[in-house]
Amino acid sequence: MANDMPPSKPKSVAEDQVDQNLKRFFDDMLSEEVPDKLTDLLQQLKQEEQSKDGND
Amino acid sequence: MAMIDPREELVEHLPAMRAFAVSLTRNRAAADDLVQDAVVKAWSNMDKFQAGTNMRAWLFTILRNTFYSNRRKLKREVEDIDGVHAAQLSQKPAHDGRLQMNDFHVAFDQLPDEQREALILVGASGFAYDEAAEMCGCAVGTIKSRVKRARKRLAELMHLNEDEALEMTDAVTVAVVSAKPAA
Repeated sequence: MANDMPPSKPKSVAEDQVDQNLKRFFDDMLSEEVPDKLTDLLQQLKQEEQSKDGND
Repeated sequence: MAMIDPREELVEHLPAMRAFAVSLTRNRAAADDLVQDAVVKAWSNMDKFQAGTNMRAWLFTILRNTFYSNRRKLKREVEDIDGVHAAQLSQKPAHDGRLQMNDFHVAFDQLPDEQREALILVGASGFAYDEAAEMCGCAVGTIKSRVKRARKRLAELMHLNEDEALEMTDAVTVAVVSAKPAA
């Protein structure tokens, strides 16, 4: 009975399914388009920065 | 010597920040507000970001801290989202496993925050245990046990095949499992 602990335990089927769902949830989110509100915010921050620099 | 402003990189992390934010808030609108707050903070603290380190981890840490400090401020609101979230997400075009996905969201909602975040950091975002531990300000062992409990709890809530799950048990796990009162 060679019962050395493997470096990482093989995942059970249930755990594997949990992880698959988890990844799918995360990937679904990643593939969603980022709302304008957030990209606009970055634009706005950038502009504020530039106008600050310009005034220096 | 082209120095790239790390702020230019921020935009690339927005989708992942949203994903993490949704898993924390369990609500899209709240998640976008959270990302917004975190982006502003990250932007104004960019001088504290150490070039060459993992920007995503840094951003996630800011996001997470913002989440917990906001939530302390306005404790309410967070509660009325049961089901709303799952319904929203299940309206995506059907691919197989949609039903299971819906089960997943309902189950995911029921996890304690700290388990949910540990699981999303390690199980979905690909952070190592030690990175996740640093981000959450706790010990690596704590993260490991949260991830483990979260996986187990999700499997139970989703009625995934527990017989299969038990095949990986060792004596210690069995003891822990059987000592645990059923929730």
